[in-house]
Amino acid sequence: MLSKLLKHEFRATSHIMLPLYLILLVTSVFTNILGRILENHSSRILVALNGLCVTAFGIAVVGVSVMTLVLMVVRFYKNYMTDEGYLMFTLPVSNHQLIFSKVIVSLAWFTATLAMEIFSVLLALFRLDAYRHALQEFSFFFDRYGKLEGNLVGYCAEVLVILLLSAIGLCLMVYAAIALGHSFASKKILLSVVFFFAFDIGLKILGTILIANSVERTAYFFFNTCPLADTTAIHVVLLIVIGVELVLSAVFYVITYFTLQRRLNLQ
Amino acid sequence: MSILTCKELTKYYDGVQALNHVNLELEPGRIVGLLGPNGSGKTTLIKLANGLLQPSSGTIEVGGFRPGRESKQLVSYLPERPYLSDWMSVVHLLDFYCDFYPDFDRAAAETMLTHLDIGPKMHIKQMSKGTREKVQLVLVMSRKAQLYLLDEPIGGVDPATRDYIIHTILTNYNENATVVISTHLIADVETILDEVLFINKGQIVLQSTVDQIRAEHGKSVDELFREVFRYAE
Repeated sequence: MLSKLLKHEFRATSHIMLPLYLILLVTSVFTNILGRILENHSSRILVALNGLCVTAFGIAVVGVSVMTLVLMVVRFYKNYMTDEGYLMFTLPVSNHQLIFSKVIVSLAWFTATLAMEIFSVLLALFRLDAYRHALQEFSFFFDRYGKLEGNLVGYCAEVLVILLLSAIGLCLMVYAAIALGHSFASKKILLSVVFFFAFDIGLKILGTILIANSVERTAYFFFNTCPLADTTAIHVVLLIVIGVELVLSAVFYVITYFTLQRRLNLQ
Repeated sequence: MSILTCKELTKYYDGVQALNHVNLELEPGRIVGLLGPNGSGKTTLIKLANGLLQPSSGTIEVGGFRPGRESKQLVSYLPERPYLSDWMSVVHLLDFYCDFYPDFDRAAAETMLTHLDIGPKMHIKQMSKGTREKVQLVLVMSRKAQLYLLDEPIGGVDPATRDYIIHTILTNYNENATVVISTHLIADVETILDEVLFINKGQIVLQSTVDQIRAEHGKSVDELFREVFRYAE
């Protein structure tokens, strides 16, 4: 049933995201073409057009990012907490599947947006010679440090996992806030916003306390007294961050699940 | 075995009691009118059966299951309000129901939609309120469910649409199933009901067959309803 939920969730969101990606690509192609023309010809009209195009491209980049975030919030709210919830919560699926479907699809769009934005920026700036040179530099860097330290791939993988878990944690924090806010009889949206900021501020306070109390000592331990090599110590730190992100995601998941399971209040 | 069972079912909203220790058993194969004035607890009872609300105390079971994945396979629910997403087309909706409900009869739904002149590419946002309600009813009645919970299916529609809705219910429901129709428009549904439940201020005040009412009270259901609820609102 999860695959069916995913199928319909992609259907519901792709008709919004795909046109936005198309706008992003079109503006990046025009930015590239006008940039190339301006290298050989110069006129006020071309400069103005180029300015407009670059601005449109910038707006498209920001707009697609914002829309991806907004879509993550709105799909959970609208599909589950408004009248559409009458259909979704009467499907023969579990609340775990309902939550997972939203998280997975949001993650997929986050990843697609990031990929599209990187691709469109590269496309807007595309010059074959410059890219060939950059590729050589990159492969030189990777060969040298990847082999010397033997850990570059590992660091990259760990940072990617941290990014992924941060994105999951953000989705689940938003879902937990919306679910909790809507478990009350009135002022549901206001309460959802209040819960979100309460979580956010709570995490910041917790983070500050933890950093103030432990980072200096931990760093000292890892880099001075710890028997591990420096490179291993960095892995350990990254793995601790992964662990913290996992715990946070799990906490927000549990809040969302039990709120939907025990306090669902569609009125 | 009864298809819907409530034991001491109670629900409070913000301290206000919406259902008060309801005890109820509905047998399969009946068309049941859940009748009561506005605010009597009809919708609350139906939402509890669907797991859209949680009981404050007591239990509710559908086919022996507490509201959950198993019970939802048995229930076909028509909410009192529009619940379909605006962006969806008729084809999307049919795909959706086919995917999630193995008992959904797509051919029957397509035939009914064709009779209503609703094309497969038409989107919900292009439809009038009446057409949306008909589409929702077609989707709900195209399932071969064990329990149909229809919340105010004829409220706020013109008499012709009302006739269409009643006809659609009668010609499409699974005959071994129980159909619960919540309404306060008794006269329009009286002729199709086997059994009635009168609900008032969160309590079931009468559960009886239509034949018993006629035999014992010498009145139609509509007349008895007006008598019982004369001072209710």
